[in-house]
Amino acid sequence: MTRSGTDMHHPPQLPTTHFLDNRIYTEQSIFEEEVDKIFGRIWKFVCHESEVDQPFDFRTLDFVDLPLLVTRDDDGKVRSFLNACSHRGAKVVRELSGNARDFTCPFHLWTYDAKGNCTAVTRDEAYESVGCDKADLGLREFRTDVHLGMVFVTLNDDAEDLDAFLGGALEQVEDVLSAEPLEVYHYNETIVQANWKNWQELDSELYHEYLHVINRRTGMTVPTYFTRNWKFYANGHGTLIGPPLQTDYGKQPGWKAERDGRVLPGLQPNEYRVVDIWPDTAFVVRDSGFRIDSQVPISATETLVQFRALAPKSDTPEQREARYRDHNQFWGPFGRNVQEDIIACELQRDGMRGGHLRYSLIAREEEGLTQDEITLRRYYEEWGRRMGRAASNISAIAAE
Amino acid sequence: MLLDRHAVQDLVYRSCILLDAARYDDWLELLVPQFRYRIVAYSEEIRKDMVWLDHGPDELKALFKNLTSHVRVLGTFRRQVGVFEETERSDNTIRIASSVVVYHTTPAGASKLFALAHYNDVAVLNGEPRLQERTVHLETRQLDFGPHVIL
Repeated sequence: MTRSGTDMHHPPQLPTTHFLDNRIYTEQSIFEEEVDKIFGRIWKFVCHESEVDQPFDFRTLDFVDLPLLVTRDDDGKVRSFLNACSHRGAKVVRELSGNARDFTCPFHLWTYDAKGNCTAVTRDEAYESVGCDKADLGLREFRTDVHLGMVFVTLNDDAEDLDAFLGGALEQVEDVLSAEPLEVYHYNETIVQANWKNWQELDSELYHEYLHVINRRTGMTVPTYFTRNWKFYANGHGTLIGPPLQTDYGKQPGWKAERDGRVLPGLQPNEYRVVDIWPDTAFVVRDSGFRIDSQVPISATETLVQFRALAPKSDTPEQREARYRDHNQFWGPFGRNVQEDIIACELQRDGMRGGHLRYSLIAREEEGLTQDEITLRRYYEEWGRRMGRAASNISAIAAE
Repeated sequence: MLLDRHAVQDLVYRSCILLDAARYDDWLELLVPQFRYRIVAYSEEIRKDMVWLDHGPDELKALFKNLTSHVRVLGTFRRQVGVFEETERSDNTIRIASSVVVYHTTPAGASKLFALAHYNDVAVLNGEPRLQERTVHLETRQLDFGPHVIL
């Protein structure tokens, strides 16, 4: 039976935890509230420590709406700063990465070191009469911590410690991340014309794998695919546990049963794992491949998604070549799967245009197993806690 | 041997026209059996050369054969290519460098730049030239979507 416009604006006859008000994806005012109440307060993954591997290495990127400078200082400590000059606010470092002892703002040549100290002010004698001292003019520093090689930053000076925020959620990948030094060997990004949460949902809601012919053939045909359980942690993080899923790649025409790359430490051949870090990061593991998805929300309907891949630094050139083949088979910009995810996200954006479809459903219940939408319900439980209102009813006044 | 520049350039142009037309079986006819196709890019973010695709003829055949089973971006691609350098080598092959611009056109007729790249090809000159190697050096790294097909 079809539904009328009136029907469409009535909340579904379901528990309020089991549906979403689609304006959480489309309303710019909600997005701006998220920037403040979520991204202004949580720990956010920004890069892997190998991107600032050596003293004085640096990396610039965006942290939602602000330019971030990540450095490794001469003591080996990873730090992060607002990449903006204390003088007139110009972005100081324009390169995406490099190695530099000093950073000089091109505007008036004020200079900062890798610890963020202002070390030189051009013709500084003219500031003496007003008591302006460069010792007080360092870059704005953000709390930065590294866990299992992952660099997290918070804009919130009063945030809980990173370990408390993560609450052990990386336990499913700890063996992979701690066995030997790793490095990012692949990086690409794409601007997805969709809300940032749409992408995170793809990494946690595995019912969507019906979208992927490869998963239908190589994953869902394996008996353990449907029998794993989701485990949740404080602050909305989640991971899939249970009997290892060993993908049967040979079910895809033209593919070999086992892949070429050296299996990562702690994994069995063909094993798959996933860890979702609330609100915008996912670690997806496939035997030889470790993919990191993270996001830079741009607006309510536009998101920069960043893709990284990790490999042991000890890879020989032949091993790295094989690892690349595996990565690109599924995930790279010319792989088979991620492209379909992008399409699905953008179809959601298109379908929700104009607000004619007020609600969407997250109602599948399968006792917490693989394709149970409990992942989304837990995700939005945390969202509601942070935003002070339920994701099923955003008209409610946000509780401060 | 007298180099037939016209035939060499025609090979590059024809390879693009066939991909544009999704005539993949005909495109595969342009290759020698040991053909290798790669897409590479340099990341300013991690300061490393990256490989984004590395396939031989069998893998390419499988890729083309499975295309219809994927959920793909609708529309067509147009590859605009200009050969700018041909270097004959002693082993009866020639290295061909080309500049490539790839446009995507939606079913509604909106066209947009998809990628800028270079082709670095190696062709075998025995009889009709055939491609032995194609390396696509991508300048565009922030792609709007994944095309599922090669460039």
